Amino acid sequence: MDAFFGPLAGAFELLLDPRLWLLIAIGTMFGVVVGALPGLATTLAYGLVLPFTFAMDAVSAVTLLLSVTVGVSYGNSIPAILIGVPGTPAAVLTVLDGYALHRRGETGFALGLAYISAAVGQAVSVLFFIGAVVPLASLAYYFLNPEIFALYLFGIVAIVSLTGRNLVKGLLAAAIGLLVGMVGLDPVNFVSRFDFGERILRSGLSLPVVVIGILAVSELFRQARQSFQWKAGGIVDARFPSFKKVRPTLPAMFVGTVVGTLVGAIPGAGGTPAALISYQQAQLISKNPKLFGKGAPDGIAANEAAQNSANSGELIPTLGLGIPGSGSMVLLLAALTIHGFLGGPNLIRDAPQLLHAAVAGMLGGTILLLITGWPIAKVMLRVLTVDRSLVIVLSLATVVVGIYSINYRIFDVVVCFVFGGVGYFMLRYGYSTAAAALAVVLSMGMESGLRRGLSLFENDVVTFATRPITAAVLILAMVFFALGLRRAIRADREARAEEQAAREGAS
Amino acid sequence: MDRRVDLAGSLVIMVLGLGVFVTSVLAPAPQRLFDLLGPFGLPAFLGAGMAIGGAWQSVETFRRLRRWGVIGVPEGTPDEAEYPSSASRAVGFMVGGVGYAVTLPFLGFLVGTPIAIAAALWALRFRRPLFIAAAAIGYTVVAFIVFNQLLSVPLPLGLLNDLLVNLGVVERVR
Repeated sequence: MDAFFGPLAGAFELLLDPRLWLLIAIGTMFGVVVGALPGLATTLAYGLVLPFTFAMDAVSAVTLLLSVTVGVSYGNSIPAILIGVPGTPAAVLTVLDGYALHRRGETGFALGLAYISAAVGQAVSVLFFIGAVVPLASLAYYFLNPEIFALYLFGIVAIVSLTGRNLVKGLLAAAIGLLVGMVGLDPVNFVSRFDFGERILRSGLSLPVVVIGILAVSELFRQARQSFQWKAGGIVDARFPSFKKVRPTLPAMFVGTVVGTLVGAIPGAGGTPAALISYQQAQLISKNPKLFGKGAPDGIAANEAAQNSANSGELIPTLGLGIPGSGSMVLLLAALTIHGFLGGPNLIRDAPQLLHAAVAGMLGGTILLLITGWPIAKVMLRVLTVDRSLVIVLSLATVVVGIYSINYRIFDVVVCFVFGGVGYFMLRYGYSTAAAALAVVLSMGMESGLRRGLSLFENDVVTFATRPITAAVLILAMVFFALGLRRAIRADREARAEEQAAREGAS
Repeated sequence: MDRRVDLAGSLVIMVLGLGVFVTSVLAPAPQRLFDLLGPFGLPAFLGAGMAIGGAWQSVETFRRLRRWGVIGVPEGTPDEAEYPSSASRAVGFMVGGVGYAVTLPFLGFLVGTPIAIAAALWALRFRRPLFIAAAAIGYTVVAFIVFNQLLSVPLPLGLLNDLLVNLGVVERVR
């Protein structure tokens, strides 16, 4: 019990610091604004905030980043309900039911339900998170080099298998990421690799620079392809719903919370699949399944609870095992690396204050949203009147300054833009940027685990691979690979059918 | 999705993979090896994988190009359907971004940044010159105050370096 209440107590102790509340307020409000602007996701929000965290201590950095996540997951439902455009992909199903309710004049009910579901999903899932991550941390003693290698391999295979339609492209993206992470000194012999004789490359490429380029700058380049303005609605007048109206949606909210936390914990899954699966499950248990897609309150409740609880779910493998659950978690781990913390099963054991900071960020953000979330919802609509072009350009400018502030090197800015270009190509042509970024972060640890592990067991590959935890994780990786292969084959068949239909339509 | 670009991308990956493989295989082994793979074992494996995967993807894309034509179902993130898109604008941003970074030490943050912001907004069809000027200069000033003055990040000042040092705004960097 102490293992469960300890992190909670640690988080509440941190929340006694008013300075931390200032960071939580800034992070949450920034997250809500980014979430409310269609097309700007958590990953980009992290990319913008990350450079500022290098000037802070690790606890403040983690708290700030996680409060941003809480803000984005709430903010994305606002445009979904009010103008029928999801702030991020995770809110796409909120559009179906939320926008329908808004058009029927039940705006207050839709917004209020999204607000309550977000808060409940977020708060309850934090408890699940603590319950799951603390036992994982106690397994750290069993994780030697072979287990670390297997874990990192599993993380990469899982994210490749679950994202994108083309498995070969996903594997190629991961391979590129792994190679980028190998530039510089190797972790065992300290031989310099792929430096082309340049001293600046001998220490390798800066991880956060590459990852921000691949994940955030690439997205901004992609957004720059089109010039248009977000549709903004008029002034909204809405009343907060009564408990009597909300009560029937509680089962759907619970389903969303549980499914969101569990699915969010799978590396590569995240908020969007969590929301989709919980929406389906809520429809199965609903008394009015036919209403889904046409204004079903249960749909909103399940979707919002799931995508918000997935935040805590993503943190389970990220902090518990060192495998980032999503693109934004890759950036979180990159931030921890800058502060001298190595991701892995030992992270929580060696630095429990990071666990407390994570809980403080999520709980603090949720408490803040409980107080300000309802009035914010109506105000956020005004954010959509800001010119989209201005947001894209100023976001790019902020990333540039932020990247420069890491090591004070122009070289880093150039690298960031180059990888932004690489990431842009990946985004456009179906190569998984999440897999590439994750592979960059895990590359050194994975190679170190593999080679030191082989050395430890006198190059006996069989002994290496048949250690119980190693073997179990490798088998799990193979299962995920098989699932990804099946998914890719199905996606290929669908693509061929689409092509055929398009050709027939044209002729 | 333009399959020609997709094909070019796969070919580049294949060639890159071959390059990595050859470099790794030809690299001299260290004096002492502690493990089976050595410093270039895993890169060689990844290079070979990229070469094979790139070749496979190139063949697949070429077959689809022959069968279905140049434009295909998007495999990546599609654009918003209702609005026109411009790949050259995105490429322009990339090239412009690198150009901005490379000229930063010479022009300095306070001169280069407003020019870059104004050019980028103009490229995105933002056609309000006064607002562009105000936004570009305003952002630059705010960013300079936040990063240089408050966070003590020594931003490159280029052309204005001596002037700002003489005015006592920044310290001379040795």
